This record gives sequence, C-alpha cells and structure tokens, in this order.
Amino acid sequence: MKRPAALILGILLLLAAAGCGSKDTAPGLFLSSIVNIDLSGAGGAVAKREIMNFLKDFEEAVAVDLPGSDVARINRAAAGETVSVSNDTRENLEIASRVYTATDKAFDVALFPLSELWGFSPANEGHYSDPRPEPSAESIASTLPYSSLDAFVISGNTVVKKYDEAKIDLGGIAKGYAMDRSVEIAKKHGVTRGSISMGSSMSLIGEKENGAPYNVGIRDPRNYLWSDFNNYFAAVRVKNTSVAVSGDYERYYEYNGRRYCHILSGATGRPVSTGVISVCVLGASSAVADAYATAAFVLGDKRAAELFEKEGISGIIIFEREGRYYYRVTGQVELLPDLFDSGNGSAGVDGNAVYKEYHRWTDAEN
Amino acid sequence: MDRRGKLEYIAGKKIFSVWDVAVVLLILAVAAGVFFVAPKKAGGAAEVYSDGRLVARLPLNINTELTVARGEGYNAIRIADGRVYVYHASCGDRNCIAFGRKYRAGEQIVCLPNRLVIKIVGKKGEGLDGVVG
Repeated sequence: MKRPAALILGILLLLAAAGCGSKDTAPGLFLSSIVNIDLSGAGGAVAKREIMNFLKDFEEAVAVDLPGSDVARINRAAAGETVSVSNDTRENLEIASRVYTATDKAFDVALFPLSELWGFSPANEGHYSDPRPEPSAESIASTLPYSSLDAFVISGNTVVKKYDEAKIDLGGIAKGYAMDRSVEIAKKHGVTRGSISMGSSMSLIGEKENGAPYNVGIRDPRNYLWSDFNNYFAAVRVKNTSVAVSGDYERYYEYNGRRYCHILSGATGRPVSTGVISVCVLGASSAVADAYATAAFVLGDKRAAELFEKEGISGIIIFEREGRYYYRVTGQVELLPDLFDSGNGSAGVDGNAVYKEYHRWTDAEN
Repeated sequence: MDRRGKLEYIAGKKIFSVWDVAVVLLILAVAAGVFFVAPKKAGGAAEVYSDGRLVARLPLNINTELTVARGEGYNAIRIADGRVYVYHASCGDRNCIAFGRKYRAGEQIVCLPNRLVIKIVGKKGEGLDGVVG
C-alpha cells in the first residue's frame, strides 16, 4: 500500500456519505406559514423542487389576498355571475362542502365576511392581537345571512354566488390540501421516508429508519409562555399519516379580560367560546384533518368527540372547564404523555404562575 | 538486501507525504467539529419549582435560559451543554450559584431565600421528531 492516507480518506468519505444519506431540507413559505420539507431517498431533491413550484402555483390560485386568485375572483364576483376555477380550487371546495355537511355546518369556508368584521382577515396581518371592541350586534346580524356556504352553488369547476357580499377563504383547508399534494409528489418521486410541515400541521411519510413510528409533539396550548413553540402537551406515535393541530393561541386578541379567537361560529357570527383550546386530528388526508380540527372548536368537546367517534377520526381535543384543563382522545391515538415538555429560547417566568396540568376526561367521573 | 540496506530503504521512503498528513489532519478536524456540533441525545429534564409549585420542565438537551421571579427575588437559570445551573440570582449568599452545574437524575439546586428548587429528573420515553401546533 503506497498511500495509506488515501485509503483512510476513502474510508472516511464512505462513512461520511453513509451517515449523511441523501436528505434534502428547505424552508419556504405558503399562505404565510413556514414550510419545512425533509425528504430521504434518491428523488428527494427533485420532489422538493416540484413541491415548491406546486406551492407557488397553488398559492396564486387560493390566496384570498392575491387579486388574480380563484378565491379573490369569487369574492369580487356579483351574485349570479359564473366564476370558473382551477382543478385544485375545485377539489378544495368539494372537500370543504363535504365536511360542511358532515359537521352540521360547523366547518364553513364561507365565513370570510365575519372574519373581516372581526379583524381576522389577512388584511389585518400583524394586528390580529390588537385589543379592539366587539363589532356591533347589528353589524354581526346583517353579515350573518350571507356568511355561509349555502350562499354558493358549486358545480364542477364553476362557482355562482347568491349574494354579492358572500365571500370564501380557503385558508382553513388549503394548507392541508397543499400538504396532501406535496406528499403525493414526494411519493411519486420514490420518497419513502420524511416529513413535510406547514404551519401547524405535519405529514409523516413512511416510518423512521429503524422501522419505529415517528414521535410528534403536540404544542402545549397553555404552558408555552416561557418557551414559545417547543413546549408540548403530549406526543403521538404515528406512521405514514398527517397530524393537524388547530389552537386558540393562533390569531387571537384579548379585550376587557375576554379572549377572542380567530375561529368563528357560523351560527352565532362570533368567535367560538366552547372551552375548546386546541384540537389535534390524525389522518390520511391533512385537508380533511384540518377541517375537522376547526369544526371541533365550533362543536365543543362533547359533540366533537361524538362526531369523531362516529366518523372514525383519531384525535385529541383539549379544553378548559371551570378553570381546569382536560383532554379527550378519540379513535386510535397512541399517546406518549410522559415525554417531557421541551423549552427553547429565553424568557421570564412569573414564579407565582402555576404550571398547568392536563387531565384526561372520562365521562364516568365527570 | 542486507539489514543495513533495508533500513536505508525504509528511511528513504516517504510513507506519508506532506499532503497526506494535511488531509488526515483536515479530516480529523472536521470529525471533531461534527462530534461537538452534532446535537446530543435527548437526556433528562430539569424541573423548576417555585414555592413548591412546578413552573417549568426544561429538557437538558436544549439550551435555554429562564428567569424565575418571585416577589422581589429572582433566579436566572441556564441550560447549556446538557447541564443546568443558576448563573445569576438576587439573593445575598449566592448559594444557588455555588451548586454548580447539575445533570444527573436526582441532583438538585436549591435557593432558600427565593424558595426555588431545581430537580433533575431522568429520561422517560424517546426523543421527538417534531412539534406541531
């Protein structure tokens, strides 16, 4: 052996290559949410590029604040005018309509006029948490009649409104839909393992390298003051599924000691106040999971748990009752509640504050 | 070739060139860098109690700073390199700082004036692959 160093170098490079694999990660943005793509396998890089291109095109179709989007054209249209939309938008509307019916109108993508009235539309970005008085009862009452998916006639790729003022916002479902499509693209390119996350949802492809399920933490909805995003309530063990989380800590404001969250009820025209504070839904379709998570806020923990059980949906519903925190688990959820909460960043804690414990709700005891 | 000739031959042959040595050193440097930069395996957590109440659970594998205030007093806690310690405190004796850096399950740091206890608890479960919400 004339060059032992070359041999050592060769071996080390091989080890390094084996250790790194062919992972490709890239952060991006979709509908104001951070996108993280982490795909293993030969097709990972190609898949990532195709996903980013898809997200860009899809955002241009569904962003409520882009004037040329399908959604903006629907919202601008006059009553009776026929608006034609892309296949992706049509599929979103179809899923939205299906869940609207299945949840007894609890999930409604046509509450946008109410969102605008309460200051939760994208036009208020950066000011969602500004304290502000409630809109007048009259303005809520006059907005309600056209704030419903019933104000739309959807047929194939065309949409017709019954009222000029009726508006939709696919924000509650488009991220999940985008994630489902992204997973499809990844699988098409031979990706067998990895994760894609957008805002508060994550899709896991396959399982971990050692064949074990992924451990995904569900953000703690209340004990996060001192550690921001990494404090988690519990962790779920999942394979090849998506985890959608909807929390009342997202886009809310406080006024006169009351908390107003961005999820609105189409029945009352007001931010929900059912005691539900966070909902996690597991499922093959992230779009459907997103929609059901939102619906649970409107339905309240009991009705939501009944609906989830009836529809075979695996989920966790966290809620507050008389100052205590509880959670209900439906369907097949493998929980790892004994994992530690994690903390990150730097913050102060009031030592007089109490760490909030969550108790599993049992109908028999309560 | 006699013994003397062999020795001369060996002495005259360069087993490592300057560049070989440079490459080996570079690889060792990179390996050392990867070893120190790579995230440490999830360990236990530090439970922080103020006046007997749990106010935070901080995993030791994530570098964090946390200031716990109680009345006029406060303790500034830091987690770095898998260890927890108090780096600043309002009390007079600074006993809590003198506890030093703790990381073994069962170890404690106590500040009597501020009624603060930091308790190291062992690792449970496995590491996380992500947090959503």
